[in-house]
Amino acid sequence: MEHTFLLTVNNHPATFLRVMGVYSRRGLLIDSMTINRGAAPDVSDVSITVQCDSRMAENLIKQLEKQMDVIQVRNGSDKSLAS
Amino acid sequence: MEMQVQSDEQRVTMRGADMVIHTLKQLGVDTVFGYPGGAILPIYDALYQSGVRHVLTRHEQAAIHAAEGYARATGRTGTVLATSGPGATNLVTGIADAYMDSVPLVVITGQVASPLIGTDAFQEVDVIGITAPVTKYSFQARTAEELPRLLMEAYHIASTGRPGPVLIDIPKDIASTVCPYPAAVPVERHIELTVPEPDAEQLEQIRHLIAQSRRPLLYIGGGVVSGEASEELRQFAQATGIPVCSTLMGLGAFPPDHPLFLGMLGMHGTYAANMAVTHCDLLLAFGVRFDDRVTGKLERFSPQSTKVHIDIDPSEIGKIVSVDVSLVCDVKKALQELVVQPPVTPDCGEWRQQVREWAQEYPLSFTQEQDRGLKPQFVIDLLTRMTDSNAIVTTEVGQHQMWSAHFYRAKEPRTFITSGGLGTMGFGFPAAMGAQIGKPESTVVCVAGDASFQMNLQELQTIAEGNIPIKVFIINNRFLGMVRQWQEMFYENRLSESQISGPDFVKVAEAFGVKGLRAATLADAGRVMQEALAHPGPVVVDFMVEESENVFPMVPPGKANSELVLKGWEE
Ligand SMILES: Cc1ncc(C[n+]2csc(CCOP(=O)(O)OP(=O)(O)O)c2C)c(N)n1
Repeated sequence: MEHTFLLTVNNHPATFLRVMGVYSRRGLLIDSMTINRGAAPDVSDVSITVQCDSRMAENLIKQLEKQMDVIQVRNGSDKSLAS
Repeated sequence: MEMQVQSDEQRVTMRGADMVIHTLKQLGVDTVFGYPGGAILPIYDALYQSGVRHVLTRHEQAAIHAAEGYARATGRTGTVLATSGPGATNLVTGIADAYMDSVPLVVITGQVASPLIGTDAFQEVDVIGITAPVTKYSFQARTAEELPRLLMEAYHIASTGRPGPVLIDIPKDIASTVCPYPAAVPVERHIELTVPEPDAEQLEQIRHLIAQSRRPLLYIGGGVVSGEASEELRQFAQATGIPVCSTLMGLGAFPPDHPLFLGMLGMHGTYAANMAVTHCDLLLAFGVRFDDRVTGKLERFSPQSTKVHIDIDPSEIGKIVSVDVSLVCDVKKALQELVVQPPVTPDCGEWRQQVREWAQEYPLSFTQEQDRGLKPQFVIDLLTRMTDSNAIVTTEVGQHQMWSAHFYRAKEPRTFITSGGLGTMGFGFPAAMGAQIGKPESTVVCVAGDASFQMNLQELQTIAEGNIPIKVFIINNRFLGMVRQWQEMFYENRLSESQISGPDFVKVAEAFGVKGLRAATLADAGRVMQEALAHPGPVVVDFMVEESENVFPMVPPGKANSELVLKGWEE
């Protein structure tokens, strides 16, 4: 099932390394990803779409929230929000 | 320290390196473990005659395991210094070890000068990239002024919530830059962590479930130790009469001689603990993470129970096992609430009787014949008797680790120190050094396998030089015992590369200027252990034990906890 995660992150050099690590260590392939400059300086809005089951999606959200530079995560299962 | 007061601004200026040491002192850091090199030279220069104690190990891996031992024994954050490149990569195992076992560490690495980063400069590695998956957080300093703030944030992050390792990478030019010490001290933090209070409604649900339960069981782990919640746990178990089993990481959090204690559960857990977890109707999982070494075959883990999970890390909830009630908070606070406002005592007398029968049916045991070789279990049991469990014990990894878990009956939290999540051979000996430095009044014993000890034995020089009086008890079976056990049980006894030789450990110890002793018989064992424990300095004892002994009970991989092999008792 397709899941889209909408993240607000601090834009630090290692932020994306850590965020991508949450997906890659679980062997997930990313279908699409966009990064935009966010409302505040040094903050970015990220949208990441992957195929996984809902249990995994829940797990991913918690793992993402655990990252210090991830300010917020939303499950944007509504696809119109993704791009 | 190069420090001067500017007359016009009255602001102290110093190098970035001096700011690092200055901030460490402000934070109350009195001891660091490390090893110098090119990129971290400015920081070592600032350290010189600063009053901060530096323990110079003989390998960076030992420095970080020592810092872990210090942190695990004291509860304070451990601090590590290492240079860039090979210094930093030598730390990786220790960082991963600390991450897996939630040990608070601040790791400071030197880095090549900023303009050289990304050019494959001499001794450059992307340490932030290499360690990202095994650090709670990491920083690379970009200016000297931000160093005090980064350090304060690092200690805050490492020790708040679920503890873990934090890395700060400091380029050499930043450490050498002279600038005014930031005016606002303590500097405001950019990252502030908070831990939620226990939710009253969920607590009420938990009370309700306990009151309804007929077969409740407490499954406790490292969170109770790192959360300093063992006193509250004891009160809670006492008040409710609920039996307790523990993970490897939880040992010491509950009194081993308490009638409610069933011992360790999981792969090498007791019969009683594994039967109890299989048959309970309510599982109270406090400060644990449902590790695969605990659950056995997941589909058949504790199949009849309603599950309650309390943990400080929200990402642990539902990670492995779906639970019925969860509470994200400090386990100490949750237990306090449950003690102050206890649930209706569950009617579980019959269950307690059943659990006691299991415990009596197959207790942990071994037979030591008078005229036969030394049994490894006997040596550890002897240690328990001779110290009355008042020592701090660290272990290496393998069979001796499991026998230590079984027979060293740790009665206080932070007195059983072992590499649980990563299972790192080479951890125990340097961890003992760090524990001894953090707890100078305690007797600190490292129970080591002969192979594990060979992974970091260069540290004999560190304990000799510093007169760090730890006792290393080698359980010498001339094998990678745990590997051999698996080969015997699951690979048709094809002993591929599991037989391992070692040097004469007594002579090795003596060559480093450390007292060396050997015991090969029952009669020797008592006398030699007594002599070792009474010796004021460091000692290595080579206990020559029977080589064929295996660890039981054992839940074979892929099997359910109820399918544990009890073979040890049948002999
Ligand atoms: C660094 C590292 N390498 C390999 C292993 C795999 N391993 C687990 S136990 C073990 C054997 C340990 O032998 P020893 O220290 O003599 O202890 P024993 O099992 O004989 O008590 C090995 C090789 C490990 N845990 N850590």
